[in-house]
Amino acid sequence: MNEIITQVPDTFNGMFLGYAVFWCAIAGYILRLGVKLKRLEK
Amino acid sequence: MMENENLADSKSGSPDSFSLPVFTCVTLFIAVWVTYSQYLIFTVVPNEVTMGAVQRIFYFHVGSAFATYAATACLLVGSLGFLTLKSKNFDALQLAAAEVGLLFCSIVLLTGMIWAQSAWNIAFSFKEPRLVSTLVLWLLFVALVVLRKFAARSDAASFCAVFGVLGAILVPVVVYSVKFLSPVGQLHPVVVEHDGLREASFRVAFWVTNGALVAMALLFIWLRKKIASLEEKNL
Repeated sequence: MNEIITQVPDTFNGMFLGYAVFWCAIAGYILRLGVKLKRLEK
Repeated sequence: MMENENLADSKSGSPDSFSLPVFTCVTLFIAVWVTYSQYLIFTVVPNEVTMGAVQRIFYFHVGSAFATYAATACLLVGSLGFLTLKSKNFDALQLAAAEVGLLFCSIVLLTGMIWAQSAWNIAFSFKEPRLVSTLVLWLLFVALVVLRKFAARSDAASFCAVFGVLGAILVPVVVYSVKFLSPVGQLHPVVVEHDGLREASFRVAFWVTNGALVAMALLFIWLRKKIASLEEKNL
């Protein structure tokens, strides 16, 4: 009967946004390096 | 496939040498390392009780900060090397380090703001020494990249080298700002030194992610430096 119920706040949106920002930035930079390499090829 | 020929054009012993198989192996290794770190963050580490899921930002927020410091270290080497030896190799290194430093410093600021909005209900505070010093470091990286883009080629390298040394001096200010200034009114946590990662899975995910992001930053610097050297040759 003395069960402790811990309620974790729902902050999934914040985590998702942070994760999206991180990977978009990394992917964007990799894409930029790819474009530069492509330009060198020409 | 001229770029492949250029990339594979390794002259042993030359500082400009680049081996495609080595690059592929290193990239694959780092990709697996980063994937493992994401697996740890999202499946192994439990939810933090007070903040919930958003606390998982902590792992790549701090990892990106470590990557920024690694890029700044490369920037310092490139800047000092260029100022003393006037070598184009060091110039390419500082260009690459400045770009990668800007990338990771932007991630630190953005993920920090998203986390702060959830945890403190405020995205940015000018009363926070670490936030303000990180913003100054970010502005310095922006200045370096903008200088490269718009200044005359001959002037840009020397100006950027001086700015690069300034950037390296700023890093200890960022790291120790929360320790040396009064803790009263400061919101930014000092987690590791205050033994905040008590659970083993937290510590493992923390160090694996830090290592993975630093390795990724160094890989980007390596590749960007090579591209900068090739661009210089093609001019």
